[in-house]
Amino acid sequence: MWTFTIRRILIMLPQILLLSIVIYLLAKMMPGDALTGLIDPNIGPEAIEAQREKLGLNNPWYVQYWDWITNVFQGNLGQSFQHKLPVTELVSQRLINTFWLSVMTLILTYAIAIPLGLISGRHNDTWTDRMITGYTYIGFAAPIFIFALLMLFVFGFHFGWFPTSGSVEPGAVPGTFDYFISKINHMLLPALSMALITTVSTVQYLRSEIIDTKQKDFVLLARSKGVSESRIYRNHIFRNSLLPVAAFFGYEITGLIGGSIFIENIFSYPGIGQLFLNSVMQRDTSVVTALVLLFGIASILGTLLSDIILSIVDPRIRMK
Amino acid sequence: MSDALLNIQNLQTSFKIKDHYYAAVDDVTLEVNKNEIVAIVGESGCGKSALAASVTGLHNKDRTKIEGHIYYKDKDIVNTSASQLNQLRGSEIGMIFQDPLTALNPLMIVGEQIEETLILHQKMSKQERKQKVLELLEDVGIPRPEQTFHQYPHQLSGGMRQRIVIAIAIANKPGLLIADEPTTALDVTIQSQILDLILKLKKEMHAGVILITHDLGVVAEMADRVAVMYAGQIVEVAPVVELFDNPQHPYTRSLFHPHCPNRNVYMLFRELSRHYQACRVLAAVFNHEFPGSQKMLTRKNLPCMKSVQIIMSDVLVTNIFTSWIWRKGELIMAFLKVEDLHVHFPVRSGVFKRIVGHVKAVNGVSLELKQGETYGLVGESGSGKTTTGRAVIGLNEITSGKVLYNNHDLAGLIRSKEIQKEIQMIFQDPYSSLNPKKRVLDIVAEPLRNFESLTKQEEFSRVGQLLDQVGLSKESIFKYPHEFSGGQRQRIGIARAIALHPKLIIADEPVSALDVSVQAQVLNFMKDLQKDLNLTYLLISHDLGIIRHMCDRIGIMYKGRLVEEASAEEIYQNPQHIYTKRLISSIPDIDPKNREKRAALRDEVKREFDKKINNYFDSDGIAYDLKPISDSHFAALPGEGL
Repeated sequence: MWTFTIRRILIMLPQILLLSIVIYLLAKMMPGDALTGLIDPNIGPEAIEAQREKLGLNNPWYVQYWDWITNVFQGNLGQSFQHKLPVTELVSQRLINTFWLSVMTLILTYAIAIPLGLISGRHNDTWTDRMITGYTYIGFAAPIFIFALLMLFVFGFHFGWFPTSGSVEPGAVPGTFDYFISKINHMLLPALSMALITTVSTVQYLRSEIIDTKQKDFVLLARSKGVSESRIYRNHIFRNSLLPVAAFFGYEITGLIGGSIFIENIFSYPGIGQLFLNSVMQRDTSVVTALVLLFGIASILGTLLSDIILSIVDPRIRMK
Repeated sequence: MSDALLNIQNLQTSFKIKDHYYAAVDDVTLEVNKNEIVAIVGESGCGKSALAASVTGLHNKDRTKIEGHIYYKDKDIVNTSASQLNQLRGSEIGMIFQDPLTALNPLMIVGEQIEETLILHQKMSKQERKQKVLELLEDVGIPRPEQTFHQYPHQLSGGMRQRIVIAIAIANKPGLLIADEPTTALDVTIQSQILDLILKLKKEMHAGVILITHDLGVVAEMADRVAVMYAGQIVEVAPVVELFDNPQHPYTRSLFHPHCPNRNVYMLFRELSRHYQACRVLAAVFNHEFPGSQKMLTRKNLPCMKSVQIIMSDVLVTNIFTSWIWRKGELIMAFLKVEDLHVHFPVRSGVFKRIVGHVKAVNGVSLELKQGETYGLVGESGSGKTTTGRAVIGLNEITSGKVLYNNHDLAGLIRSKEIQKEIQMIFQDPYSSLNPKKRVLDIVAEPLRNFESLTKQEEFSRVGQLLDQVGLSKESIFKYPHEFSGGQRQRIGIARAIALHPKLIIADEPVSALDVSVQAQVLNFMKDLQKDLNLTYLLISHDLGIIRHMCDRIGIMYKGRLVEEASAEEIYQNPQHIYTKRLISSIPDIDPKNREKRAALRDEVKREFDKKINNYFDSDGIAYDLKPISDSHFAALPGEGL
């Protein structure tokens, strides 16, 4: 178990290194550089050139990459020209917002997927099952940004049940109970909008896995022991069916990153998704690079997480 | 009411297929008494498993209709509620399944799985329960119960897992045990152990046992009474000795035909099913002899009537047997020669996966095949037989040694296209070795596309020809694998293997995934093909019956080494190596009157085996080299006499 985890983490390191190189090169290929947004149009070309030399922008790419990566390791991700703030500072507050939004979304995703998948897998080809699979097809087909706009319109504006923007009530004091409630209240609608869409693949996964598992020999053996139907589902089918869902967990995180970019913009939620789109528009290179690196690391961590989860629930993997 | 333990009366079990109900069990009446083993024999599809499922209520309730009565201790199972049935299952009726590899929950330690059935049916404290589980594990012959309790199924061997399944079945001392092909998936030495265990438990618990099997040898060894099932009906019930001595029904007679020496009954079964197109045509034969069996003919799932004129006659059966005498052909120089083959797999461990040792899967094997012959490699799982085959065709890397094919060394070299073409393989599982997303055309034509550049037209006609050769219609060319039965799929696999006119075919358990009656069809087809195309087979199997039927010479593998090699007859009549002796003695005998004698012999051989097996290995635990016994018989005996 431990050797498995340690080996898995060791494999991760070169992955991250490779990722950082690719991201750096991609950023280099974008038109403009860290200086472009900062330049006052009235400055002469010689001054610009001097500044370039001073910032090391004329060095070969690998030297520049080395400068950048050593800075990154020291926690210095550069300066955002748009916000006139260090990137680290800019990202950290929003990162927490996005983190909690993602956690909320994940909880909702599984809270919806597991009961629906169970019901529809256990009673497959009944009317209930057809309604649930019908919903999943709608979920597969509906683009998240249209669906989120609809949710915003119906529950935010029409009924007015939820706030329509921001991450907390202005003026709320951090640390108080009201502050906490307000945070949750602001997260609920965006998280729900995202969860209702991302959950459908998990529902489908769980459904087909349960249909598959309930015909297995060991389920038959459990029946021949006289185990009641509900106990069979609880003790034998459910856990076996969760394996692929657990394996999928890490990729769910990757999906969340993509979803959060849309969702945060639609709900004006101050997270890194919103910051990302904004920075791309403004050519804020250092912020974009930092965020892409962050997203990449999050995906790699996600797959690590699913491997570890899988090795906990499946003894056959644990042993290897 | 009779005092039988289980009393089945006029049972009719029908399955729903596309809005119609088809009777799988058709008007069956049968009794099982306490302390009695009733064997139900018949080929696959005859309804024997459906009968067992009806007794335990394990059928799919939406698609099954059960009529008639099943009384267990005077309680009618057909009309009990689900919860009452749950009470009965596990406590009064225990069930043993066919495949121990899939019958246990992979995520639960085996101790818990045995405990579960105790929790459901008995009130015990936690300590009592654990104690009881350990006792059960000991009863079924698990050597270290305390350790096994905490193990997961994948950590145990097939035989061990079947013992666990049996422990679950007997946990609550059931009155009735149902064993559905309990040993079909196991090696022959393990089979005899499991059968002995079932016998022992039956004696201890005075339980009634229903033993479902297709293996007449198992019947002869185990059963008190036999029910022969055919096309959903029980066509004959008799005490075992009587049935084997004097079978009444033509179907039973066909199983025990006088022209057929005892040892070959199993083969005859296969041969017949080939000649009579399995079940369907036999129905026609019955109709001829037994006008009363008209009912079978009208059943919609028995459509093939094209050979009504075939009447089971002694002449025909005799012909079948004479055709068995294999061609002692013009055997020339060694066609395939394997010299001192070693295949070792590294064992890795730790964070960096360093190599810490080697599994010596094949540890010095030498053998020779002559053109046109069939060489059979036999051994239990893990003996290295599959690895040997895969090394010859180049699917496993050779650690050391030589593989000479027509005097070309195949080891370590990139093989020329010509040689790649000439050696082909037939795989074990026709369900997973054909790509489900490809049409038959693409599957069969794939080797052609790799090696020959044909036009679409040529390719099309070649594939059509090949399908014709393996007995499939040309229309199948555009179908997908799932549209075929297992036997037909294996034929597709064979068509693919012979597409390039190979000379050597390595067949790794070519029929073990198929039904018994289909096995015969495929094996005999392989024989015909061998004659037509002058093929050489390296046949790998754990089933001694198949090997004996197919092979000219047999090599017995044990722990990565060849321990004995001789002609099929010689191996059976005059086994030399202790392991061969054990293997041969483990094959169930077909004569129920020999039961005691066989059991005694088996025990004796086993004792001898346990005592002397170490003598057959040198100080490094490696079997000795083969020494000639006669000019065609070799065995790995120690230098000095035993």
